[in-house]
Amino acid sequence: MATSDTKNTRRLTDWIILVFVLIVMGLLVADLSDNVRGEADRHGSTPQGPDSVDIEMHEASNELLGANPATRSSIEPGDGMIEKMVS
Amino acid sequence: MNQPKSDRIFALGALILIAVVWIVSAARTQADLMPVVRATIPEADHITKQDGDLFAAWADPDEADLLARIAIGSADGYGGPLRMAVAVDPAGVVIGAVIADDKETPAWMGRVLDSGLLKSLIGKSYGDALILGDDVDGVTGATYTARAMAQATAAGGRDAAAAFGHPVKEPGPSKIVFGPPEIVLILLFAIGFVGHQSRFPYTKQLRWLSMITGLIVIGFLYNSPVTIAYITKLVLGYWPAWQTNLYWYFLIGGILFVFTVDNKNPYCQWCCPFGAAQDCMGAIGGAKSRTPVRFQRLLIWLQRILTLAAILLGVWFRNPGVASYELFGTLFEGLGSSVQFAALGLVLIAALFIKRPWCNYLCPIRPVTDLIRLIRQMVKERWQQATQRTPAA
Repeated sequence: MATSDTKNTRRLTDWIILVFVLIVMGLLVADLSDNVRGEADRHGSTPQGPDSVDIEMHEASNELLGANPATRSSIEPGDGMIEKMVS
Repeated sequence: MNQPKSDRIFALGALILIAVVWIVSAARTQADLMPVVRATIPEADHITKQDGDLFAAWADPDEADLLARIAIGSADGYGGPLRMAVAVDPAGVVIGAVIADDKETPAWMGRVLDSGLLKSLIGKSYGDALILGDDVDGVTGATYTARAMAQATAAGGRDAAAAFGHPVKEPGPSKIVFGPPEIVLILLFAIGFVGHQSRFPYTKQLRWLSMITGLIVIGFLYNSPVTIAYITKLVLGYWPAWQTNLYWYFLIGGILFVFTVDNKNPYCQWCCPFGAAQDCMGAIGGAKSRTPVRFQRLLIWLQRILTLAAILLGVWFRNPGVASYELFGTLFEGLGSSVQFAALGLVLIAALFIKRPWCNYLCPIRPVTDLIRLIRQMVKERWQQATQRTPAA
């Protein structure tokens, strides 16, 4: 009888520890995922490098100016002209 | 003691996975600086890029009136390098400062931003050293982040002023920072070494002395326990300047050294402040060491998987601060989200009845120390095999 009680108590303790760990771990993961979401927002959904942004700005600036393909070649990313025109 | 084969496979797989994520994240392109640079001086007509990380802000489309030069300054933060875009006017005064990139824990960064430190940097001269507590106000509980922000601004300010032709005096070598936390840490390691000796008769008393000292000094006074961010920082290669970060080197180096030489953990049972807090709760509640036999392996694996996930996230974003899920700041600084306070409450209540529930089931440092032990054992086995194969001369 006593052995059975001890066994039941141990089994209950095991379950309590498991539930405790799962709850706290759930809370920690929720908090961690908040951090990760913030970081992912900061990085953007797809990594953007200077080249891709410059190309987008390049296209936008040419559209604004109504430039033809010939003039496009005279404007290069990184030469400062793009930022100037977009602003 | 031989480790199960599954442990070895997991350890090897984890190391390979971390290496792959490290390489992939390193190959990603850098964030575009132009939006950040523009934010330093929104009134500019346009910005042009000059040499390297130097930009010019113009007041007019004809580029006749130069408003400011903008440079990117860098300094060591808590999680790694912190970069600031700093705009300096022709007179050499800082007129704009924006964070370009950081590796800090979001909660800490939030505290620094709320403190108004950024605003206080505006109006400083390029020649100001921007020393925390001297030229600018410090931020309690976020010293590393605040100091890095001020130093990066000073560095950016100097570069921008130099581009204007101002005489810039480069700062001399950093002063070695060796103060109470470093001294206490060395003493605690020494106490742990003495206490570990099998013939020492007062191990229990010495351990309590060490734990209480760690709780007060490493915990409440300096809030500098080992975190997963420290480990991720090591993995990422964000090794800070030794002169100003001796504490980090002593802590990580000391643990690795003692493990390698002695195969003993000099930190967790001897001076971890969060462990000490749980021990205190346990002493109040009469906590017992309870091993959930049915779920023991499951709990070990959950802890390992959580730790691995945190390290992988930190490496993927190349930001050690983002991976830190410990509740240390919540206890020692009263800083954290409501979720973190709820988790801390549960851990402290559980610590009344179970010995060190955080350390046993949740702390990311335990899987890391298990891994170090495993690697040590594997190297030792290889070494022994190699020496046995070599015939004696």
